[in-house]
Amino acid sequence: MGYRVLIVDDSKLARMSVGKALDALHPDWVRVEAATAEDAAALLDEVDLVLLDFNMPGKDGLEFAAELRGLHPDMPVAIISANHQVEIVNRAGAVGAAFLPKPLTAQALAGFLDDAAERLKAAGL
Amino acid sequence: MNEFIEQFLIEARELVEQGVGDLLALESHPDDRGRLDSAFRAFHTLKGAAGIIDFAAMARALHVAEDALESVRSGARPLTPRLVGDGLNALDQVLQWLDRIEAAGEPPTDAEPQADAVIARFGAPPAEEPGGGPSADAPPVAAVAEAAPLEQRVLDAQIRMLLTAGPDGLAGRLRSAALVAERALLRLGRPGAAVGRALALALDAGDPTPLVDALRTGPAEDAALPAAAADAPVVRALRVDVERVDALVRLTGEITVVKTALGHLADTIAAGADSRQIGAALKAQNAILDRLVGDLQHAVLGIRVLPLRQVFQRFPRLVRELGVQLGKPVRLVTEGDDTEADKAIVDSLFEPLLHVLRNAVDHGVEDEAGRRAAGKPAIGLITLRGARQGDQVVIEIEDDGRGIDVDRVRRAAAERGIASRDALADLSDAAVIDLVFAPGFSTAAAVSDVSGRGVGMDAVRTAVERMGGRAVLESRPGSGTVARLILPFTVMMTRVMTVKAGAQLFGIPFDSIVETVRVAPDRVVAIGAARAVVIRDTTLPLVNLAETLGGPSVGGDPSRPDATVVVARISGQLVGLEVDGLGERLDVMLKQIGGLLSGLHGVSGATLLGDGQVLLVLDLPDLLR
Repeated sequence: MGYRVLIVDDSKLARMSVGKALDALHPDWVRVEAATAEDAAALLDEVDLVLLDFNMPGKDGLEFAAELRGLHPDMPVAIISANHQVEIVNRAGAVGAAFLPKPLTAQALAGFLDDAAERLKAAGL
Repeated sequence: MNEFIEQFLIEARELVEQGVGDLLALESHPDDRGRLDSAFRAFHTLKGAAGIIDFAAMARALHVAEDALESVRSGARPLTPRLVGDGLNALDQVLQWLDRIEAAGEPPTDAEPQADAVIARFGAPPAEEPGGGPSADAPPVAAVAEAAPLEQRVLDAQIRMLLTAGPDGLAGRLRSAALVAERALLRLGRPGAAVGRALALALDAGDPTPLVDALRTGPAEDAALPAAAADAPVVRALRVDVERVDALVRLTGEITVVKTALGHLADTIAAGADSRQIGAALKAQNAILDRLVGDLQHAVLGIRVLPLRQVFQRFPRLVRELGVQLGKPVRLVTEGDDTEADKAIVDSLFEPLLHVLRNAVDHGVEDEAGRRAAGKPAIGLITLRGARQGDQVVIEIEDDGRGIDVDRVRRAAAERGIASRDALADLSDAAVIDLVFAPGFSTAAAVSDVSGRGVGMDAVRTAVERMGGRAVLESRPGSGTVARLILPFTVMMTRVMTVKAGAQLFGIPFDSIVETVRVAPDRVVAIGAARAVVIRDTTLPLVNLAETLGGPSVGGDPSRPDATVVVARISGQLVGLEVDGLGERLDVMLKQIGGLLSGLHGVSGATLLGDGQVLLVLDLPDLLR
């Protein structure tokens, strides 16, 4: 059965774009959307993995990923950002999140999703 | 248009607005970290959005802008007014792209040169001191030029070329510039003869100045241009809320039901049914149809409605640049951006608003020394405000400048022969201020590059009246000027009540009618030559409509001596209008009267009645002035 994916981005256009790529790869997976880290926090118990925009007003993607890690140590998380700065890539790694460059390519997303699915399966989900 | 483009347009317009607001705030508070982060995010998200819809040119241009802001965030470079200007320039280019995408449904494919121009500004060496005047390679008309039609930009390019090129090959350049300029002027509907003369002068003198001057005075001579521009067919797509389309679909269905019912009634008439029953059924169907047509009109108007933001959002940047050119720091605040107005009006507002704002910066706001002397804050404040008031949309442009010098207007009007000195002496201050709208009027002591020779308050009034509105000025000496554009919310429907005056029917705008009453003769009193009527303890002036319109009043039913009075509110005052009969309430499409009857006193427009008769709709304030 399909996993539930939470897409967090303040731009609806960006969520539509990620959602389209996700649908193309895994039409049976369910997508859940949130526009802010605060909204996303309330949805964490309902989802299996998270795709997070780095640049958001309020709490940014990395801050939220760190919090999330405390609550759900094993949940696969990817930070999506157009800032390819080494610093951000490293910080994503430090909180155990994958880094995906923006604009998101189907290939990059597929790599992360396959890896996430394997980890979830291994964890018995 | 696919859903991604639609969403892109929505978000991009919001982000541009956010970015413009942040940049302008940063200019006065360069240390505001929150604003800096927000501006960065706006550019960053815009870039990402451009990437999503595969608009590479826009993404490329914004990437450079984003890098510049990032280097400010990291402390690598300071936030200069120049950088703010470059950022605003980038956002303005984005807005122009958005308009093209909205019209075409897809990103333009020829945007690379424009992206290059945006990027070049970020990369250029800082030739201009922060806050300094315009440099030689930035012609003084630049801010206006970007808002201007292509022809104007062509003219500006010629000026720029003439000013910046060296002395070699001057004659050839002069001829080529003159040729291009003549064509551009022709397309603007203006004769190019002055250009020919200026070219001869410039060739004789071996100096481009006469030609440059001739090209520069172009826009100033041409107060009627905005009206002409408003006439030009502009193809723009309209994005419509799905719910509003659904409402139309639903109404179509309901109207079809009525049509079927009427067909059924026709059959029963053919079968010889009782006429009284038929009458009742017809009346019921007519009532339904009446409601549906009303809803349909409402729904169709709703489709044509746009927020004023569409036209307001370019002005903060333009006003800022006008201020830089004139060496007057000014700030534009917009209010009521969400106010909705008919698309036709929103689309025609840019030029008149630009004129008014330009005048506010040039003539309204004092220079720095003047403001200091008056004890005002150094930065002039101009407020652009939109609000819905009943059936009208009111747009105010308010500055905190010196107000209008009434005596100077009087003197200038006399000098220019707009009215005689005696007539001017009798005019109230308000009436004198209104002369600013007279064609060709200007009180600018020095002709400036920005406003030219009194550009356009008459053009503003013309443009506003074309939209069925009014333009008025209000001055508070020493503390500012308010220009008020009062526009109809819709250009389509006006609710009128028909009344009989003499033998003819006239329409009175419904929203000016307070009540209709029958008045016994003994309640009408003569006051000198005029008459008044007492209605519920209030005494109102009473005017016979037929006589005011220049015809004889036939009077009502002779067996009933009571007068029929329409109580109307005219410019805040109640007036009783004695009519010869009351008609019905109608929603009409008001048309401006053209041809021989244009300029008819006291008439705001005409409409066709169901029987083909023309109904003149009265403009009561004008009629009773």
